[in-house]
Amino acid sequence: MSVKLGWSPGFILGLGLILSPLAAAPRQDGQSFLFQAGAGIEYFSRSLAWDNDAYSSRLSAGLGLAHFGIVFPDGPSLALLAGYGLSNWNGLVFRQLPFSIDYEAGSIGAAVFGAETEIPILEPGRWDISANGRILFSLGPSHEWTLSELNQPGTLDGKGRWTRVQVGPSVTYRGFETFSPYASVYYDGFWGTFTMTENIGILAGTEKKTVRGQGVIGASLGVIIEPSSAFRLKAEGSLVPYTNLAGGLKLSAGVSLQARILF
Amino acid sequence: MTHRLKVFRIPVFAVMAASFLAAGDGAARAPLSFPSILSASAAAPETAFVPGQVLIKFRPGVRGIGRMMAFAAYNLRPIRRVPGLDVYAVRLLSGADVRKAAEELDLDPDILYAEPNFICRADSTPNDLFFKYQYALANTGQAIGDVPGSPQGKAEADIKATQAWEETTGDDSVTIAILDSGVDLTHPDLAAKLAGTGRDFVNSDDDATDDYYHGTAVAGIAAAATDNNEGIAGVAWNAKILPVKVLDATGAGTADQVANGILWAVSQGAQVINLSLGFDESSQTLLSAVRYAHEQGCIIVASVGNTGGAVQYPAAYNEYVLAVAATDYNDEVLPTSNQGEQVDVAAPGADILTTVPTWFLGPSALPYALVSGTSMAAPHVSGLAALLKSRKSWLTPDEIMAIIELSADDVNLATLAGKDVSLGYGRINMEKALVPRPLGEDIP
Repeated sequence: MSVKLGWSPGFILGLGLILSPLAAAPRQDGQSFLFQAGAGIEYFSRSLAWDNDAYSSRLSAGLGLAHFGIVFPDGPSLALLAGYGLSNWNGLVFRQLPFSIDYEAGSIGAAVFGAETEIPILEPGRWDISANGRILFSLGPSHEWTLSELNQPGTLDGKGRWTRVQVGPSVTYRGFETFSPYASVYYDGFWGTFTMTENIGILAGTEKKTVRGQGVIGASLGVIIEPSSAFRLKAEGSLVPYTNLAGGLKLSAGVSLQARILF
Repeated sequence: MTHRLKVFRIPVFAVMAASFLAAGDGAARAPLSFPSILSASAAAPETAFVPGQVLIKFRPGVRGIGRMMAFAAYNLRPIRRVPGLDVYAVRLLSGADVRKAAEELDLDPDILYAEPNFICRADSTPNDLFFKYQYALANTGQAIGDVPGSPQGKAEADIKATQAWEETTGDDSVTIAILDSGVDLTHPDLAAKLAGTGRDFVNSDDDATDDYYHGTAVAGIAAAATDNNEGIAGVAWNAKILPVKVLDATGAGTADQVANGILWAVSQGAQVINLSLGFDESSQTLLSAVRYAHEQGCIIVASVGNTGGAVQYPAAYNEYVLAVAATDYNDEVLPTSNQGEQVDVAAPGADILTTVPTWFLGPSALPYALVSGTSMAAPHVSGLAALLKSRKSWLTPDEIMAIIELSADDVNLATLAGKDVSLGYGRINMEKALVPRPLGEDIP
């Protein structure tokens, strides 16, 4: 894994939270583990800052993820995620190459994997308060393009990778029979790199651009629909406010839909 | 042993439009009398559009499913919408011809119109009074000169300077050495740009004042003070000019003077050396000086000559020098521009409005004139080299030469495709050399 995370507090917290169900799961006789499997789709966009926050662009990603995990007695859960994603890096500009390049080539496919966890903390009345954590890695293969408008054709080879960490509490209302609305506020860290290599005749250069997501606190609203104890649908919308480079307040948005079975 | 000095004349023929520039002459129309100086602006190239994208507007009544069926039928992927106009930006299949696709979509009865998604770019237009006459930098099809009967330029037959200036106008850490007849050190459009009084290798002193006119003309093209509400714009707005006098008052000089000038310019930290001069024969001394400068990281630009014959030296030192031919306001080769395999690129060199010494046209005239020749083409390239060096200081001379060559427009493609003996790779294109190239969906 070559994505530089800088071991930020958010990343460490995310890892800790994701691994914590293993420690938090009570070892009580007579209680059994449950397995969960499912699939989900999601879309999110993030505003990115790069070149020491001198420039910004937007990344949007559509993901299809399979989930497989375990629910421990008393509720903590841990799931591994794996799937495929399309990440659109349009707007990244590479000025360290011999011929500067403005990436407008659209989405690039990549493998996505990660983990997520949910740890119940309190259950006051009909409310559930839990801690949630999620980490996702997108590891794309390199893609090649031709640069044909010059007097000698050239090639460009690009590879984008990103990591997203979300950690925070959520509050779920359990007062309804088959559905439960919830809200959460969370730390939302996003880091990535895009490496572009250019070769045109004697001209050759590589530029590795490090990006970070603008805005680190997100909020989401969602609903969990449970027509039976073994089946769960979850729909969620999220927003990450951020201050753009011009100083204005903007929002990055995301939506997701998940279906899971427990057995 | 005899010692033979190689004497040459500068390869330029000048066309001085003194009447055009005569201030206060009732018969002449002084440029200052025109009120619309600041409106000069280069339009975006007509052919510039986003690769693989077209804009579509459906006819009224064609909604949801109808639109989706149209997208599916033509393999279109909607990527954006202009809600106020109900226009979609859609992505075509990889490799599709955008114009052809737009024409085909236009024929669909459900589609009101389809067109390429044209690219505009904010142009940086300087406020210099005579900028509108500088067709070489931004050719809008304007008249070349301001007297009745002036020829008309062809729009876009220029080096795309205004587009490139959006990316960079250079900085004063880059110096262009003008090895020529000196520079008018008091010229209002040059004085503030000079990196000192230079060096005079003709009279062996430290005063490189121009006593001919040629060096002042070359310096103005490369890096006149720009956006200063006065005179002309230079290609490299912020680059410094280092005057090095190697030509005398008749425009002649010797190989040892030029070689000395090159070495001195290198010692003064010049990153770009402009040599709008030429010898008919090769000189070991000159070659050694040029090679040394190249090895020291200098980009050397030289004019190919105006005799219609072979490429002159030092332009012919292909390995070390960017050899520049001349085009006119129609992107056609200047008939007198020398030819040969060594020609690398071309730049406008016909009727170029530039600076001349304040004494040159007399006290009542403004110190600007129209000058022609490959000598005037070369400083356009030197200016571009200076901008590239400003933007990407890590590039080597070979890399900067390659960028300038590979980004040139093959303007004589119809008759001499590819690199040719007339214009080399073609007329330089500052936009392609400097502005980030859009990387579209050009996946093999």
